[in-house]
Amino acid sequence: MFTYTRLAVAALLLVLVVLAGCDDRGRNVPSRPDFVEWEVDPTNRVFSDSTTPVTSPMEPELLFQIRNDIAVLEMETYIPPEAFTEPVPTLVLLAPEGGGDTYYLEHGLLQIVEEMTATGEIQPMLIVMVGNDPTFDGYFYGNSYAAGFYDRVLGDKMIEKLSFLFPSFIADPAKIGIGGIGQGAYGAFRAAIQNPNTYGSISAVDGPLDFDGANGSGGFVPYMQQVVTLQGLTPANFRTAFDSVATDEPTKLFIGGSLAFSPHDTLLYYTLNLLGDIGEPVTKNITQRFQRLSDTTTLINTIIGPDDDNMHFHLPFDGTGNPYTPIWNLWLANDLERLHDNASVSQPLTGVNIWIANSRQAKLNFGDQTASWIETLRDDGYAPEVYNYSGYEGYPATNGKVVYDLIREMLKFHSESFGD
Amino acid sequence: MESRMGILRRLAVTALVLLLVSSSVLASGFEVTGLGTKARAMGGAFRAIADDWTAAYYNPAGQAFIYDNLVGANVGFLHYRNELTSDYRYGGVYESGVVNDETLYNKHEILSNPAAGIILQTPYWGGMSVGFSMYQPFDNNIEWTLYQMPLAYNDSLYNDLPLDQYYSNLDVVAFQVTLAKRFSEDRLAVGLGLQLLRADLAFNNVTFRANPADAPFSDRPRDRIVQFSQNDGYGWGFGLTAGMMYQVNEKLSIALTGSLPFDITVDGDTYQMFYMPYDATLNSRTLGSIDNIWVNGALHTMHPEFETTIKLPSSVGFGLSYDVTEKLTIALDASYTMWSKYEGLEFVYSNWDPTGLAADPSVVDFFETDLTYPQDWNAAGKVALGASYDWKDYLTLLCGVSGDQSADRDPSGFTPQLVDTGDKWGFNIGAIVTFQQWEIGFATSYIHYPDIDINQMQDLNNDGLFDNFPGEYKAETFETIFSFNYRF
Repeated sequence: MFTYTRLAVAALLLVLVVLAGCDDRGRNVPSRPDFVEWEVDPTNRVFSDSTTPVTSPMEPELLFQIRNDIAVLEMETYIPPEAFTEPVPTLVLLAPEGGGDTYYLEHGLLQIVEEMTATGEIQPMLIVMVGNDPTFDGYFYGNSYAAGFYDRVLGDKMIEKLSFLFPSFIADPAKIGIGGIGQGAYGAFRAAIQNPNTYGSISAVDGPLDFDGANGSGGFVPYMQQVVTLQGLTPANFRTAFDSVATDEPTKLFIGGSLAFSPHDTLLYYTLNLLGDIGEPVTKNITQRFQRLSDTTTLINTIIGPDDDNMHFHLPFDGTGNPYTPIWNLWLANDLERLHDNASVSQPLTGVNIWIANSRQAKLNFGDQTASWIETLRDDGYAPEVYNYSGYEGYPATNGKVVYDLIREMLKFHSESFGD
Repeated sequence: MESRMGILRRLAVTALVLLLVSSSVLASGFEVTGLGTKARAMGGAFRAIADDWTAAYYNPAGQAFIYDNLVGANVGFLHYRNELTSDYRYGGVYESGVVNDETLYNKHEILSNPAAGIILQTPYWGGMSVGFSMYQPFDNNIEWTLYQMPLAYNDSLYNDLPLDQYYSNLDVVAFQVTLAKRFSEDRLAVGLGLQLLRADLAFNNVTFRANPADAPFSDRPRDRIVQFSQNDGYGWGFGLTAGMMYQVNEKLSIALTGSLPFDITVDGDTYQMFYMPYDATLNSRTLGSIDNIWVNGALHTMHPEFETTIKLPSSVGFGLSYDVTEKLTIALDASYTMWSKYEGLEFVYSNWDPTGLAADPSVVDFFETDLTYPQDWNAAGKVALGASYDWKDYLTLLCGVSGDQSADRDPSGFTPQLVDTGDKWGFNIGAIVTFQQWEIGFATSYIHYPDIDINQMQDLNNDGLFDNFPGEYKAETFETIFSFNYRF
């Protein structure tokens, strides 16, 4: 009898083992968030300022900006639902070279910010996306008639505009951040340096942050020779053979930069199509000399599209491909280090949280320039948070290829900087 | 008595050594764990016993020593309990849409594996034993849902992918005629099995294809185009299996076996579904241009045909059995399977119908691409030790352990569709109740797999596709077998 009892117990245990081995563990699909609640509807989330030019011209700052007849700041704004009922912080994002005001949207910002806000990773924020110029890849958010006077555009004018457009905007530097990629990174630092106490946080991803590099011969310098070689320029034909409609990045970079840092002109004859109340274009003929450089070695005055024929500029290098000191110095005067040292206040970035993403795979020596700028900041007593990144096998992190991923990091950084 | 105990000790020591060795030197892959209650309960140590219809699988020679006619069948119920915590990030950093850092299970399913055979002892050809059987020598069946499309990739198709994203169902069924005959005063038997093999293959995969477009169309998250590949087909082939069994004395038998399945070409239908990225701005900007295809968010479904070859491995085996007492028999098996022959699956597609695609050759070339899932496997061994005890006239108790070496020892091509995490241990028990001419059997087994962490993406064949699937894998298998044999 005892034997049979043991057998029965053994059999029962066997049955339990079998049942345990066959039980359903349940979840075998990913736990999907309920996207329906926050599925992106751009029409309710994105406000395009460029669609309302009447209210948005940036005059006089952009009045003479090349190829911007209506002097409008191309700008898209992400408005979180919360912004309709409560004040929210603001992040200004500057597009890189060649990027328009939809650059960040093209890289998933809308979906990322909706997801991160819904999951609590970031707090709701207005995100203002400022476009760069698509023709010459941009003007470094510099300061000239041809490029536009961004030092003011991204300073008090921006604060004024946002206050006007969005009741939820908080005009408190701690609640305003600025960031960018490439030239946008330069623009972000420049704006914060030139407008102390305007921005409480800066995020920057590899850009032209040190024009001549750590040793004075890096940065853009090697690209001068590259442009000369690429275009077959010589000292003899330099001014006549330079092709200002070339599409290679270094050439466009030098044209855009020259329009911002070393413009020639001068005698402007400009047609402004202002859509006034009557909807008719208004032509303004302006005959005023704003700035003139006497140098003729590097003056390029035969090209650029017919509409812009009066916007001449000086390249920072000569026909040998070497820096041309008188003009190169004008560029270097706009280098961040120099701007910082010559700012209206000492240590203009004091109290500003700084996050910088750096990759040695970035194009145009931006990675090296950024690394050099990081060191400069540290030497000046700042403590930037550095985020190193690279691509992956077969996919180097050049030309903004991983912006989608960096946006997440930028948003997290600014959200934390905004505080509660 | 002393002599018997001495043999027993030596056998036990030999078995222990072989089991220990097995963890480092020794059939895995997608070979079945075995057939039949008795054989499975003894851990597979059955080559030198082979006294029921499953001799067709373990050792065809064994059926020559079955002096009755016999018909039998069994069905195994399997549950693959696997876990995967994915770490599928490009460069270890960049999210792909695969759900990472969340432990997911393979689809809950109790799989059945039926098999049957008949053995007839004929008076012809000097007492030839003839058998016919149907069983699965190779089997794999697993299904996972692991991918969720990022919203920024396509916020209208993100939830459209089917659940059977990573799926493999391979059934190789052998229809086998077995001939066996005794020689040498009935101490030696040889057997030969001629197999007609039918392979059914269903294989799904989510493949992340490198986007050939320029920036910004190929900027993340559009860097890789999501292609859901669904393949379903079958093919026929042949195989041979042979064995020898020699009864050294009344107590000791030894056996040698070999198996040689030939390659099977499988063809069938496929659905290739390309989930294209969507970006509202880029889409409106590129309307009418070739570039639009990379940002318009369309779902392109194509229905080509496929062909692939399954390279099945040959194997050799050795076994011995010893009747320790009239009631107790122990058996030891070792086998070696040439898994190095298996190189994965290469799907060659034809008859594409790229309707709706731009006629640009670069675009068409992208879509009409063959897909390869390479594996770099090694030959693998298996040892098994089992015991059978006739506790009562009507009741036989069985147990066994097995050590099973992984074929995927260099897991550079490790994927969720074939979870072979490492060297495995099997623990088995069972019983057979005999009632007149009937034998009713029950066995259950547990197979323990080691955990494995695959932490780096690999492109084994340099085709630009990552061939493995990083993550932390855990696995175990439960199997319960019911059987009957009827002797007449």
